[in-house]
Amino acid sequence: MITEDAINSCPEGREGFTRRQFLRGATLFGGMTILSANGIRYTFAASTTEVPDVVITLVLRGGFDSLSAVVPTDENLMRKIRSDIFIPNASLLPLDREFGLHPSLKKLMPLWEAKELAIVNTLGAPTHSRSHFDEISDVAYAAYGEKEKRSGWIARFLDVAGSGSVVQSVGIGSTTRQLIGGKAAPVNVESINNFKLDSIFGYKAEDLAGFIDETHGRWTNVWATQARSTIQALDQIAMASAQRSVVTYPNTGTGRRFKDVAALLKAGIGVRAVDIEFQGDWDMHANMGTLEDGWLSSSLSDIAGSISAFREDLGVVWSRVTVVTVTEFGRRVSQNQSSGTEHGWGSSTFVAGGGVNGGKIHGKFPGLDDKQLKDGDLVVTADYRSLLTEILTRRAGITTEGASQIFPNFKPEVLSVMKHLSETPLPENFQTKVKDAIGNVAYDMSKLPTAAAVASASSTPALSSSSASPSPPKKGVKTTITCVKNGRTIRITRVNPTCPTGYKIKE
Amino acid sequence: MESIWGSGATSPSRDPIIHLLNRFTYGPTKDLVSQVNKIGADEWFDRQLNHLSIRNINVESYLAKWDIFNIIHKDVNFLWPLAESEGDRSKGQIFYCNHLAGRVLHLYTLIQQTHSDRQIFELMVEFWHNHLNITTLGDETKDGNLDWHTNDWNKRVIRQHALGKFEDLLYAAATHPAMIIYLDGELSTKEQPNENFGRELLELYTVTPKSGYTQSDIINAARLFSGLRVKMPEQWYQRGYRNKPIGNTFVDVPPSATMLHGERQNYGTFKIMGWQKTVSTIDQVLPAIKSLLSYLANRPETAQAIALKLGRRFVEDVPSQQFVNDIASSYTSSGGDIKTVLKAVYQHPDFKNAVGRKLKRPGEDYVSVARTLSVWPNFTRLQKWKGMTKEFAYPAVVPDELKRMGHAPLSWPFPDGYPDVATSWVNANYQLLRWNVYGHFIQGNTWDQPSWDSLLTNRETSLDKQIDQIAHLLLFKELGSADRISVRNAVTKVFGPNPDMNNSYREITALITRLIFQLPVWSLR
Repeated sequence: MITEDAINSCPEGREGFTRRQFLRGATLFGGMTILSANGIRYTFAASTTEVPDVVITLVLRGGFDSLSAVVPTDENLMRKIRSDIFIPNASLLPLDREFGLHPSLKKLMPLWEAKELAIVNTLGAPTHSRSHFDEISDVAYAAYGEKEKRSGWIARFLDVAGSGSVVQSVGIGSTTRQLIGGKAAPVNVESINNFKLDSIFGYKAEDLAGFIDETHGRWTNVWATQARSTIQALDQIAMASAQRSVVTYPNTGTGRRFKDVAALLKAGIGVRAVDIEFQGDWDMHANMGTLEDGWLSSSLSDIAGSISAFREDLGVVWSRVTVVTVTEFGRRVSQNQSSGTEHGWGSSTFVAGGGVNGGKIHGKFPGLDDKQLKDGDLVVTADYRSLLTEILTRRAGITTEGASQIFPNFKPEVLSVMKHLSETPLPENFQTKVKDAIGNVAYDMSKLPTAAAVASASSTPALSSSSASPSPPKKGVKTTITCVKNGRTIRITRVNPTCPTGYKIKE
Repeated sequence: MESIWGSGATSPSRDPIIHLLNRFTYGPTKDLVSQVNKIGADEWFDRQLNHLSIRNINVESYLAKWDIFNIIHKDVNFLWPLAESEGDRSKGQIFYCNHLAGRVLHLYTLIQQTHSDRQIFELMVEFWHNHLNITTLGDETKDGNLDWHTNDWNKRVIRQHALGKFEDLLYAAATHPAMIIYLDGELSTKEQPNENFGRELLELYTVTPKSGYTQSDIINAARLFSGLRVKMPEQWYQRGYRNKPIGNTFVDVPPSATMLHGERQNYGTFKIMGWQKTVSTIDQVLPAIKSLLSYLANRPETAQAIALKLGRRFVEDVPSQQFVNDIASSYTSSGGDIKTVLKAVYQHPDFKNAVGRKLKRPGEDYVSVARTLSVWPNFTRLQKWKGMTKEFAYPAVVPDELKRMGHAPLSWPFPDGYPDVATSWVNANYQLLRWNVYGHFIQGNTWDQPSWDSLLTNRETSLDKQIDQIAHLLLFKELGSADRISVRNAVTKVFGPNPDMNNSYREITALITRLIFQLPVWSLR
């Protein structure tokens, strides 16, 4: 049992007592303040509720070649398989012994060093069709094995989360599949400056808004009710548009989109999820360019510049943001004849934000030897939904049961990429307006699927392994099955593996 | 969708002719209302069902003006040679006229909906396009291979059978290349029949899961259809887009680019629900398919499913069970004759009582505005594609406008068709886009500018009379007293307490029109 003395004896942080003890203490003693190692003062709420993260996906359409971004340092091997496009170790920014970062991603290094950026190997979808169309939509619906794919996973997340704000989710760019089909409609914008009512012949937009509000106020039906909310959303987005930023973003479509998102979050209008489409194409079959210049290099520096400006722009709000990259597939390991790469399968994923176990490469890299590849592709060693589940359960207030509604027919693995909300209390100077707009989520510690892994990641003693993890890492034996569909085979390794829809088990 | 309105609000017209035209056309127009008043509603309805006897002169002469519409209704055997001849061979390129054709089809569909004199036919074309949904997104669906066939699908499947018998429509659909590609028939083999089409055939197109079909029924249906394959032109295979199918037995399946591939066909005994047949030679495949589809089309569950959908389309979001039973029995007794069933919908008491219960979806809203204002797409704002010998151009921005509103014609990305209940369409973004689009129409933008002098009978110099005149043009009734004051206040706010109706006639007229489009009553049909 924790006491005031225990807190006082431990002024530098939460080392020395378990998370469970800590939370019990928090509940018993009400609010308390702790000074953390980096000098930020944290105030803890009296109950197990916390302001959740805004979940942001950065969609890299076309198939992201992670081997050009998070580059294996086995230079001889890389030179052999990618003779025209390999990146020499001398140019790489060191990450760990096995990997280095493409130099065009240098603006991500401060995040890496601050442990606010993690890399996860080697994620992907359970299917391996190499089809843009099938994979980009399946990845967005994330409902493998369901007959009806009528909603995106973010839409289901918001249905489960049940947020009440007018503008719950925002799609920037043309990607909307992850957002559609839920109870609350997303607001899709190309740019927040365009989300406004046009004036007509001298009749001002605000007067027209007033006219709509007044005349729809005489009616009661779903349309009229929505109309009055839409008028409010116009105001809220206009508030966001009015947010000024002194931060310099890349002068690109993606840079402008991140700037818009920062404005939306800083305006405090209750956005819980954002889907940003990277403006550009990752389908680099040919002409990737050089190390310093061209298609790949400019795209990578666009990602790095946008995310790093976004972090700077958000300030303390960054502590309640998770940005995760999503792509339909990685690319073939060997280069093709045109100094490009073909469609592949697994890919490294970037996760950035205030709640990341950062500065670390997570997951298992499957290896690049011929026999370690699947039809020439990097093997998927963890399902991308495991990472998303972790983001939602550890950062967004979703329970295990909730996660299983969001990702049906799926048992997530624990990846320990994310810290739990309780490990990253809200900074004291977090804007009240933003906090109030997002609201708190309650979380039930006994239902966290992630307990053991969080404990190990935060160097606090592990909790009892009897916690309700859907896929305890050391319990159950993983087996591998081979699934076949139309002559395509995939192998799935996990506890109680099943074939994805359309595939049959090959005995 | 239930609505309540307070006193002073503008309510929907209760005139039965306006109600009929709200539901069985893309929106009443001044001319149409007077025509129906003259000949009577029943007579108008019967003439509409006999659609081939209606000359659609306005649309046909408009389409004839622009070369681009030559690619409408063409199949791959026309489009592929065009793609090759207009592409730059020296660079190994082809001209993707399949994408172009799909997008022109969207514009063509909107023009027909707006100006066709065959309004019930056009509504049923849209209905069946959604019931048997094939996505025509232009450039990404199935890596573009689907686009070669969607225009032919529109012609030979949907338009050919829209007012015919459901089982004929179903057979045409099931054997068409567009369906074969869309639901993965191309991936199907004898050993591993792809289940996608088999499943949707039972789930979406006919009996629905309520019927209690099993996985074995799905697999049996998939087996029976496993030999159907698209027959691409010889040059297409030569270009290496896909290997030419290997085998000795190929049988053409007219009228479209479909064939049966003997080596891929699964033979044996097929049992699907209460239907059973043994197929041992390739000649027996098509008759068996026909027999199965006829069986499914005539199942009582299919009758119920189609009755429910028609109720949702023409009556209300949740049709009564009585309505569904009545319409299903009309379906069954007529052997799935679509004209008979539509007549039963129109004559049903639920139809008459459903005034104001349907929300316009974005597409219906868009087209109803264009109809009311009697405008055509603006052919001065063209998107251009350069081929080797000529330029292809059309106002792509028209369908793009609806795409942004989430309701581009024939573009729903799933097999189940666009949703048809209000709640699916109520959101901030769609509303805002609709509101701004009213402004585009009034000012003339993607569509031609409206001609107020031909739309309005009198050039009113009194503001109140002008408000009444425009309300009658759009709603065929007067505004509620409070709405009338709101509109009046808006005009006087801009043009002063005594607006100059002579010098500002066009601006005032446009503003009043815009404001009436903004009223909640306009959102209903």
